[in-house]
Amino acid sequence: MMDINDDFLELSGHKFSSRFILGSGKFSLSLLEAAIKDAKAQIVTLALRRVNDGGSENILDFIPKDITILPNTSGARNADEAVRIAKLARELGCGDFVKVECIKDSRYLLPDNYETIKATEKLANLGFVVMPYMYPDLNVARDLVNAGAACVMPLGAPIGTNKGLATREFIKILIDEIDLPVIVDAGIGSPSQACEAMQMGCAAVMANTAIATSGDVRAMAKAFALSIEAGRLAYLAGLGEVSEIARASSPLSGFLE
Amino acid sequence: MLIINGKDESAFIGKSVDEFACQKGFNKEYMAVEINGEILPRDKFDSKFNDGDRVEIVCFVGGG
Repeated sequence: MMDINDDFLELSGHKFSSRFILGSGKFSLSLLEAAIKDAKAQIVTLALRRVNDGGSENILDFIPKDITILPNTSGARNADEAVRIAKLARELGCGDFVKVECIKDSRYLLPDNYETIKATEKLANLGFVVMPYMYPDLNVARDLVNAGAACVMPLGAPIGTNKGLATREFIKILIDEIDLPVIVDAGIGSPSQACEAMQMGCAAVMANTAIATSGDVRAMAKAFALSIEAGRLAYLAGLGEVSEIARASSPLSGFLE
Repeated sequence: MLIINGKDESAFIGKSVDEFACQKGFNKEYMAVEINGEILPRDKFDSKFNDGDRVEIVCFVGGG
């Protein structure tokens, strides 16, 4: 039988037993640490912003030390801005991981794939573990592989919408054709959607809004952790075939007369 | 003029990053500083601001 304990998410040689990447936005800081624990997350995303007057409390105080920090480049509209933000984030001393976000559109927050490829290439050359947020396009995913990405992070639906796997068919193509981990990011709104992504063969799921805006943050974090583990196990086990007509489960002989 | 995070902070011309952080109540451990587009290494936070500098001081916040 499959042993999920021997199953790791590998990103540029870094191994993780958890396949749930938790976003830290929209949480009250007091709930964040518990949510990370309930989510069994080992990677947590953060953003970078100007310091505010008098803001001595910092989110890093609420994140356990064994967690891998994944800074995003939110706010970047092009590759150069993403590189600038990534360098500043690395200067804060939380490692080399970066989630590239290059976004010009403010209504749907869709990533600019062209700028994302450019940023990925520059950051990979600077030694970053680059995790690019992208619109699920196979040609772009191939360019990201060539640019040195550690994975690809296609969106399921626009950020924060909780609409789920609207891009399902295109993510499936990436899973089939790309050798890097495919991590579905953005739009995942429920544990069942996360489970489906994992069953399809996604290597991990990232979520934030679905948990942060739920009625019970800790319970929802746990529900996601369980669903992602279940989906992964189902994928490893191999789903049974789908049939258009009924196939009897019970023997079709030896009926009582 | 000295612009720090988009505000005129000319009163700090000739003062260091350390002094600025201390006076504003910022925790230096959680700051990254960029002066005129160049990152200022953490061990150079005693550097003084010059007239005409444009400075960005950033920290981590919650984000997805």
